[in-house]
Amino acid sequence: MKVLHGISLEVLPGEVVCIIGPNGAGKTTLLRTISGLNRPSAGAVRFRGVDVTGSKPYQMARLGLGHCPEGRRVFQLSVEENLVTGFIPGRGKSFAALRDEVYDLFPILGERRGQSAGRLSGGQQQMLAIGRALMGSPELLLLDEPSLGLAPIIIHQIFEIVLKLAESGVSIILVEQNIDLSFQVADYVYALEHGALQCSGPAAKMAADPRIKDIYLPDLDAPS
Amino acid sequence: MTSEAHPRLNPVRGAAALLAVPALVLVIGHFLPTYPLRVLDMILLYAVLGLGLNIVVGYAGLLDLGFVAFYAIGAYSWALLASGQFDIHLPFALVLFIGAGLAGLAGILLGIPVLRLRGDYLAIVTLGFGEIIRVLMNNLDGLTNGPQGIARIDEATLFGWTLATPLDFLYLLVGLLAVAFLFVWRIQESALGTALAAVREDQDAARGCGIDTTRVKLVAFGTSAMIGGACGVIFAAMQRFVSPESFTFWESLVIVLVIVVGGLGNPFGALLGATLLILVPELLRAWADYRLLLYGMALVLVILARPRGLIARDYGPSWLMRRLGGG
Repeated sequence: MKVLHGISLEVLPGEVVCIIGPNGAGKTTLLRTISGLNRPSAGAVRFRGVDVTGSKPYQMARLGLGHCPEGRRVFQLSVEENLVTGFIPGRGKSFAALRDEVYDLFPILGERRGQSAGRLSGGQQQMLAIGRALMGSPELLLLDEPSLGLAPIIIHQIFEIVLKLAESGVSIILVEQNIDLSFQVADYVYALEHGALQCSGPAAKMAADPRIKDIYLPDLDAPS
Repeated sequence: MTSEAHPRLNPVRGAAALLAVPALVLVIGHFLPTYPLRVLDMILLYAVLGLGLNIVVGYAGLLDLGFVAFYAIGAYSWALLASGQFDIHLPFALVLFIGAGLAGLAGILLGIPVLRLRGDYLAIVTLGFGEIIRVLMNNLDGLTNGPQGIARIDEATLFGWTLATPLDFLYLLVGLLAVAFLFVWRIQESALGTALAAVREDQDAARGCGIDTTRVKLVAFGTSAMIGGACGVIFAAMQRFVSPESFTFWESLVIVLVIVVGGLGNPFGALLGATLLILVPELLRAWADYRLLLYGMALVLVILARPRGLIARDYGPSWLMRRLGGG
């Protein structure tokens, strides 16, 4: 079934791009198409200037694309084993170096390295899912609704990490329902509706756009 | 990689255990009369079959209900290549490799089309494959002698050592089990092991982690089939008679039960499961009429009490390794 219609999207190195839109707009499908889990019926995916349309997901991962799927989907293994699974050899950094970086970013994961991922809280599982994606030392990281079902304080922590990663040079495509925070971290925002691009622009400009405001940010001006 | 979940085996104690247990089995074997010795042989054979099937079912999480097909391919390899059927008499060691190789090849050829399927669908197709092989053996009269089977198979000779008595086979099977156990253990602890676990847990997420799931599943299917094939060769050499009757769906089911009862994805589970599944029906022979009833009840009780198997994955190897003094 055709879900996406003529969407054109671009991410520059170290940039955070946010995709917003209501449920069923095709945000997840778009990410899955970029990472090769879905095959586009038309159009192209280019990564670092190379046409990678139709590549298998594992090939994309080895090229430096990390996909942190919706709903976290951590493996029911220990925390560290999850990181082992995410590790992709031959991308420059050793397993131990990457693992220590992940534990530096998320100290709680280091403390629970031997525990089963199933026993972690939702926020910790999300951290693990991001950590697992980072084990492939990605240049582009796809984050599908990392705030889903998490407490506000955890969401803030995770968005701080997103900013930190972008500062370190990782490009990020973020799919989010949490519009407020997304606009704060994003450089550029694309708004989807019914699988088509509704509007796009730099985050600051988009936040001021009356159309976006009406649809997504109705409460922004309302006194709280 | 060392972590709490997978402490390293202390090499000295590990090696001691690795030598002591088989040695103990062999010593016991020397004191057993023929009938219990045959039962012990069968336990070891099913333990190896369980280890093989475990790669696919336990580690990769793919339910294979046609494992007996690979066992049959191995058995017929020895029956056809070392008997009067075509007056071919190849040496046992060679056929062991041929049988395992053919079975592995069949596993990969079956895997290429069916590994797109998941869950129940995969189970049904593999079940069908198991039956197809049996029906083929039953009907290819010119090749396999049909339902009459192939009798008067050669006595197996391994580098001048003639495998004649159940005790000889006990030595062979202990060796095979040790090799298979170490092999499966290595897989579990290797990158392939983590890849298999990822495939079992979530195929899409695994692909996103840079794992070529198709290749990983094919490797699992192929290696598992090879172990099944090797077991088949030994089975044929032990019985010196094969017929399609030995390779019914029931056999596939028993091997699945071995690992489900013992504990999926855990080499110790296969050992315990094989012991129970082969030993219990033999012990129940005294109550001939109620034998299958009691056997069934025992299995249901085990699954009710320990739904994840007697040695669940989490407390299997790691628990034993801590006992053995791992870090």
